[in-house]
Amino acid sequence: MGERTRRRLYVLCSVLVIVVAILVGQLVRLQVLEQKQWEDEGDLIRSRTLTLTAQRGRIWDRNGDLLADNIARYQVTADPGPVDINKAVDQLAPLLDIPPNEMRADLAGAHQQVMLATKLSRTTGEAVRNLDLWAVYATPYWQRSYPEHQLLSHVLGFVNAQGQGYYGVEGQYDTMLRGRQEVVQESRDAYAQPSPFDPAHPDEPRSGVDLVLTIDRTMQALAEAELARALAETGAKSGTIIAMDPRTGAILAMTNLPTFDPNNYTETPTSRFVNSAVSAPYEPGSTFKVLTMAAALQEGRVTPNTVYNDTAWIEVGGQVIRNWDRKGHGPSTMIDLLANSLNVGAAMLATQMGGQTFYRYVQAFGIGRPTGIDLQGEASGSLRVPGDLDWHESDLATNSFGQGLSTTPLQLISAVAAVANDGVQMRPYVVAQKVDGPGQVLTAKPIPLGRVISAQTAHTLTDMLEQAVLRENSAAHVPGYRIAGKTGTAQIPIAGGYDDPWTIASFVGYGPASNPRLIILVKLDRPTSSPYGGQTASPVFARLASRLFVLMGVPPDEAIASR
Amino acid sequence: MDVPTFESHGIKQSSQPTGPLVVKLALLFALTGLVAGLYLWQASEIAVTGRRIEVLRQRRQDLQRENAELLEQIATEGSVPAVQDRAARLGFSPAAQVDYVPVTAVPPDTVPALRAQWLGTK
Repeated sequence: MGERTRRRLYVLCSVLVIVVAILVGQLVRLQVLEQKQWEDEGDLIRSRTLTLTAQRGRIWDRNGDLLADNIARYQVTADPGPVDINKAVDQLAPLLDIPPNEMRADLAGAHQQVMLATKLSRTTGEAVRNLDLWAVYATPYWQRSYPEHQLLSHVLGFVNAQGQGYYGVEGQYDTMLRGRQEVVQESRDAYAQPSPFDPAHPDEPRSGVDLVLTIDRTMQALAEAELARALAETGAKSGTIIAMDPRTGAILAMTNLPTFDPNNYTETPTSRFVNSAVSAPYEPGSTFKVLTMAAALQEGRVTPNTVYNDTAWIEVGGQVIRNWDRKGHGPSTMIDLLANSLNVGAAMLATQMGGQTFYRYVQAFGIGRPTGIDLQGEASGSLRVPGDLDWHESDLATNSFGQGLSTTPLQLISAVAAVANDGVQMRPYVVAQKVDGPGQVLTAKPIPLGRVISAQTAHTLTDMLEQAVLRENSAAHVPGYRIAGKTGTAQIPIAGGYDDPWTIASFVGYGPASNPRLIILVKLDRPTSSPYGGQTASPVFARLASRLFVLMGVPPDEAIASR
Repeated sequence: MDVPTFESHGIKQSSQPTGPLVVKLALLFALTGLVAGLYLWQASEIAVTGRRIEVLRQRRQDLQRENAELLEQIATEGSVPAVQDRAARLGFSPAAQVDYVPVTAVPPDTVPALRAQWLGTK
């Protein structure tokens, strides 16, 4: 090989080495030094992050009627860079009912992904998807829906646009209902379709747990209709009805008026979301005498026929206690006390028992603490007991007839239900079953909170309450059925006194007295036709109970007795 | 005249014939082609199957959404206000009074069992 040839070879080799060195240098720069930057940029092009929201668990009533469901909605977004604006506007604007100029301006002026439309129906969303427009995405999501609209709204609560449950069952069981959310990276091909080579992203994330309520939809509808009628007839501003099975604590119906449609919760004042039945304490008034009498009977202080001399007033702790009619009723039995709702007699019973004994029973009945119902936002009510700084001796007297303390409607019905259930108080509950897929059913068992009074005392008191209804409260009478119950007419406390002449009129009763299967509390706020529970709430009870007994298949006592 | 041989040029002749080498090379190419073909076939099958799965998944999700919508429609049609409205249009009205007729022929103890049997519950 000549010298000249050798030099040429050196030059050629040098050129090749330089070229290879440049190539290697570029590879090192792209794949090592700037690897993260280019990888991120590539990911942006070939993949996108998807948040897969699980379908929220459905809510059913005790008979399998659907109360809360999910419906598919679509949102349409577009990447302004790669999107063909003219084509997108031509095809999308009429479909989405957006003015073309507006859409064109939105797409042309944006640098990030643009939300073109949301809350689209399933058919519209699928139509957009089927257009196969480059860089236009139709993404489905679930929206909560309540097919019964206002029915049971306070018990159900609602779900906001972010999928967060508020109030009622939706709030209480939010974590269980919402299921799991999955965030996945989806690879796309050149046509923005999921890449067939990509390992399949997980299927739809696991749905939330379905809930079956103790509530009967039809009973609930009847309760709401009766409450609406009561408000119209009595002029009451608001009201509450609770129906419960005293043997188990299962809530059968629970309603408040005014109410709201959870489908349109954004158009509702927030004050209407509150479930007054569990969250709004009030002074229960004379319905509380049931508990005072239960304590006195259990302690053996009185029997149904014990007679006392009812004077027009009594002084306790420096405070004068008067009957509601400001009259003395003379020699009266304990049944007279309940039938005539005598404050003086109730105060005498409480003072005879003494504070320690009286409040022991009051607390045993659950007054002053939440019942533990599985609904969000339960209130405790308020109860002052001896030893508290703000307790006064006169409280013993006023508390005996339901003043100077507060309970929620649920606390009161739960306490009286203990009398109906042979003296055993049950924890109220609204969720009967949790269903987590086929065959995975968890059934709630009724939970006894404890025995408050003996079965004998409970039966005696039931007889007394039945006689009280028969003698003085014919409006609560349900033909054919033995009903035990008590009216309440309570003043409304405001700062510095009571809001005269307004009252809260109520009635709590249960039946059939021989074997109670239904207890109902009716509460009407500020009725104008009459301030008294016996004239306003009792007829509501009677109408509702007569219909619910039929619905529940509870035969009348008279039919049973005649057999 | 001497005939030049491989040995005279410093090249030693292989003891193996040249024919089998060609066959081996051909086999190597064929095998390589087969592997390449299999790879391409597998890749295309994966792509086709992946696309089919994706289409089926999409179809299933569409059906889930449609089912949810149908369930919602059924619930709305069967809601209390809707049923009350239809009942009223058909001429039904709430029962003003319910009269119970005691059936003395049935022993009271058997009533719960009969009731459960009729209702199909335990």
